[in-house]
Amino acid sequence: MISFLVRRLLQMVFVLFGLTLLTFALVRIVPTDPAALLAGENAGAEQIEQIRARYGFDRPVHEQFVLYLGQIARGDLGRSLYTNREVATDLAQRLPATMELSLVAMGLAIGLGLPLGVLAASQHRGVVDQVARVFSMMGLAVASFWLAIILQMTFSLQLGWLPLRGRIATMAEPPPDITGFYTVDYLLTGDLAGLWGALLHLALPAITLALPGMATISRFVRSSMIETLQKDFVDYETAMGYPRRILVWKYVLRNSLSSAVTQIGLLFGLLLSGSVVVEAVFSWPGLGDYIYNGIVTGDSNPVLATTLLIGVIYAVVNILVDLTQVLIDPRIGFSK
Amino acid sequence: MQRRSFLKATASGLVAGGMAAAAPFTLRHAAAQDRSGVLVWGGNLSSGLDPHAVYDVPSAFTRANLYDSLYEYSGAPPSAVPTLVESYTVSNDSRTFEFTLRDDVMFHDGTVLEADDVVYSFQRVLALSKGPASTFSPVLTSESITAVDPRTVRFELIETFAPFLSALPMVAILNKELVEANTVDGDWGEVWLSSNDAGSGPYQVVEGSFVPLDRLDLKRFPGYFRGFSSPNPIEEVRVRPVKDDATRIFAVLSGDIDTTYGYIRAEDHSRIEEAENVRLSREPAFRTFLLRMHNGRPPTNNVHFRRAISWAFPYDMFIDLLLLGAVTRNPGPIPASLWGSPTDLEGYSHNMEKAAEELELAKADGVDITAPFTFLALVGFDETEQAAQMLQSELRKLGVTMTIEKALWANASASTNALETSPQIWAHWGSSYLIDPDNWIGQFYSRAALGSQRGSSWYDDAEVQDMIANARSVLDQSQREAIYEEISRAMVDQAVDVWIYNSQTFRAINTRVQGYKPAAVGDAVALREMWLEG
Repeated sequence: MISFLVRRLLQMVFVLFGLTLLTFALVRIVPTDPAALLAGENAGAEQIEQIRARYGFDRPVHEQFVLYLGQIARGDLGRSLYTNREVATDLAQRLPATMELSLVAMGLAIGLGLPLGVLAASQHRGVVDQVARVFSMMGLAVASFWLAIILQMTFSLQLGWLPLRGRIATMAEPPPDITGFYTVDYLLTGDLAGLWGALLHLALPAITLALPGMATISRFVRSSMIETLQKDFVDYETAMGYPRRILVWKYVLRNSLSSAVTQIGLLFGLLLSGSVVVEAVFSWPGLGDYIYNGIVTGDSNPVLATTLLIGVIYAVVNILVDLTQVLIDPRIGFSK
Repeated sequence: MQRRSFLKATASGLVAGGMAAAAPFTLRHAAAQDRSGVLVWGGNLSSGLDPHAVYDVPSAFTRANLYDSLYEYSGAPPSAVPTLVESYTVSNDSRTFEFTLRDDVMFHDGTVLEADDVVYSFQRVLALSKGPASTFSPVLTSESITAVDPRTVRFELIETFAPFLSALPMVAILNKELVEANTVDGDWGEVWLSSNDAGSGPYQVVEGSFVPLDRLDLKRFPGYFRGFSSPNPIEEVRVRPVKDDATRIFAVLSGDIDTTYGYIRAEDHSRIEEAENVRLSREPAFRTFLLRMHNGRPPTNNVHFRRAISWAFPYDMFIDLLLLGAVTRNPGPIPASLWGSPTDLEGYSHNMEKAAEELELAKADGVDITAPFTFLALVGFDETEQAAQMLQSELRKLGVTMTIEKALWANASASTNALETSPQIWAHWGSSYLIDPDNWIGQFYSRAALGSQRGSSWYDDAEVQDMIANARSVLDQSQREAIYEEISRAMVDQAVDVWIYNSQTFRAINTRVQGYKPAAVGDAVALREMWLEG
């Protein structure tokens, strides 16, 4: 297992290097002028030239890349040209917001998608199966921004049950910064009212983000389960009078989880990228909002650092997925 | 009790208990929303709080309320009036200004504002070379600003600069001592000031509250030297920008925010006007919309070709049908409501016959009118693409092929740095940074602007350049007015750009907000004149 982890971590370093090279090339190839951005809209040509020289933007691109690599190796992600703040500080503030939203959305997607897939498979071609299929199709077809607006109109404007936007209410104070996850930090400091507020604010963006994932998981679980249900051991156990519920939920599900777990790993990446739209609609101060602003303003350091960070998260999640698959099915082993 | 019954009973108990436990939290949560004395400003948030590093529409809000300048804009149409200045003298050659400062102005930390702070602030603007620097760097050096005594500051201009007093509101005066105490590696306190304030304005930053793109909290500064308009002024301001158009409207209608930003879409106006708790503020703005034509490259370096484009653009259709009449036609480079724009200037209208005539003249000059050229529209600014499509459709009728490409603002702006890469034709807005015709003439069309986004017409007519220089050197406003009118006529005749409209600002405001007055520049509304009802 240790050699497996070492091997995967080494692979991860190469992948991240490639990702950094590609992203760096992309942000430098597009004709954005960071000096003009820094100088501001009102700047003259002379001002722009002064700033270009001061920040080293006049150096060759390969030289800038080597300098950047040295910088990130020292843990320095640079400074945002847009906010003039350390990118690492901004990321430390924003990463927990996105992770909290993504994990809750992932929890919802798994918590609802998995049982739905099991029920649909165990009642193959029955009413539940048909409803689950329609639901899955809708989940995959509905655009996130449209769903977000419908949810806002229904639950915030019409019913007044849930907050419209933001991570906490305008007048609420953020919790002391312990983990950066507001729900956890409110809980740790015993502020249950704050916790309740944070949960209410999570509801609509998490549901919006979770729906496509929920649909995907239920579809994969359903099809794997249907396949497993046709295997000999199921017929044998059924003939032996083994209770159907235990057979389905314990043995058939475990034998069907492998592909669903792979999907969950891939979905996590999709949730992170999907957060760009959801965070914009719900004014959620996370990475999606941050990288989007970096792209439209030509602010390269936040774009590079956020891409690298998402790459690291994605790689780690995939290693965890591989480990989970071995736990579910020890036949896979660590050698592959 | 059977196992299943036990489990059901336990689960039911947990749910019921959870709901009962949650109820008081819901009430407590709602109680936390008591917003008396607190304004929730839903306008855009500045990328940073340093007034010398960032100079755009959102940053005007923090600059105007956290800081004071020597002068500020007041009235309609706006003109620069003294704020920190008690009196001033000017030399006969109009190059040396001496300002006597008020003696009752305190910074937020209780330090008295003195001449050294003014000198330091201007020197900092020049050293950072960002934001407002380009207006002052041609006429000021670090050495030419001196403190004569604690209450007197002297500016010795390199050359006469007529808009000097009009430009003074651009520079916020900082607390020198405080900024120097937070300076690291000679950065002029730039990192610290991006998240903190060192001002004397009516509001101050709540420490640690600024998170770019997300939030900023301000509190009232009771020691403000000019006081507040209401006996019950706004005590706290929470800036909470809302990025998405639909969410912004929902937020202001539901009372989640008190104001929006000033660019509410025309299709949302009726919805806001029908709401009982919100009003739509229609405000005159000095923000022109224009198509920039590359005067230095074919085919738009030919005056007849440019005139053909100017006649071909369907102005009325664009303004009345697309923008639902929410803006006013502006036929020249200077906003028509400002002095310097000729009142009788007709400009161009949609006239395909005249466009065809001009194309024939262009052909006679050797222009290949069949060669395609490109319009660069801006991603995220649909209006620029719609203008491009309308122009494309009209030009096609004349046998002219114009293709449309799209680019991010940052990329389009960067491409204007060189003559070869600058777009053949593109669209953007000309915002006001100083309320003076120089903002739309000198800063757009003087030689110094070439190689920047504002100079992207690459226009370099020797006669007009002389007039621009002359307009900057004459102090008498009536003489300057005559010069700018002449410049406007000459540029319209040469069809340097296609000037389309002057904007209005549309801001949705909750009816509990009182005393609101439109800002002259960007989002520079005066919070100290506002109060909340209910």
